[in-house]
Amino acid sequence: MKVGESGNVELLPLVSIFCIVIGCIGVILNTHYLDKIIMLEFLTGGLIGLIVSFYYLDVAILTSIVEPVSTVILLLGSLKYIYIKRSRRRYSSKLPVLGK
Amino acid sequence: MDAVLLLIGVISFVVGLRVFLTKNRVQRLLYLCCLNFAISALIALYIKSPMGGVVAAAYFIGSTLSSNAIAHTIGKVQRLEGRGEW
Amino acid sequence: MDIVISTLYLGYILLIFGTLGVILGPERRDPFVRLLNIEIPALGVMLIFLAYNHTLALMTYIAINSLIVLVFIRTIIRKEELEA
Repeated sequence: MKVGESGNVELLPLVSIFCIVIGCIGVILNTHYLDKIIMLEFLTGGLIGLIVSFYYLDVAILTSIVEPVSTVILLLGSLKYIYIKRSRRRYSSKLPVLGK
Repeated sequence: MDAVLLLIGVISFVVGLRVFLTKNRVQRLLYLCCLNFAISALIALYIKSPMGGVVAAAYFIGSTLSSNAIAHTIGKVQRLEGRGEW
Repeated sequence: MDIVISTLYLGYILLIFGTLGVILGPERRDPFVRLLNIEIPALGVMLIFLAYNHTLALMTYIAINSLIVLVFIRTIIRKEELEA
């Protein structure tokens, strides 16, 4: 498969490779959950652009339908996880007051 | 190369760098939404076929849904942590 | 530079860096952070499938990868509820 022929450089694979490299560094180095999920969204955008530049249009449609489902599941899970962690910390800090 | 394509590419590079360098989370989400629109436009300009429009529309709808979900969760987390009442 | 070779080497780089990030990244004691770091080697495997023209394997892997997240999230939350 020759995609970038006829001399000029194509712009969509270049932007997609840039998004994937920046997103890989960003997901690892950030520590808050929402920052990591935002960077994961960034990375998946790069993946869809690279799939489209290979002319696999059906795979691109399936990826862009399935990917928000995964993001919504991750967001609901992270919200419940933060709530459980805060609730447990508040409960354990209230325990010595009850013990007096 | 088209002028419109070059302009969208430059905007996409600048916005991608600003997503990586900004510290504020809400501002970062705003730049991410702009970058999703730019990638959708690049997909629609890259495929010279009516199927490319379908792919661009599907990606546009999916990315907008996902960004709305992230924005709603940011609001809930900020209300949970107690700073900022919005 | 050809796009196929570029995609193949990008997939290898993502696989190696993602695995190193899972093993010795920042705040790796939290299981949720480790689950979010796991997504990067999965995406590297997707890029390698894309470079070798395995379309059916790519579609199946993308569809399964969004289902396995549900199982892991459920397990992490259940574990955190049991430890409290």
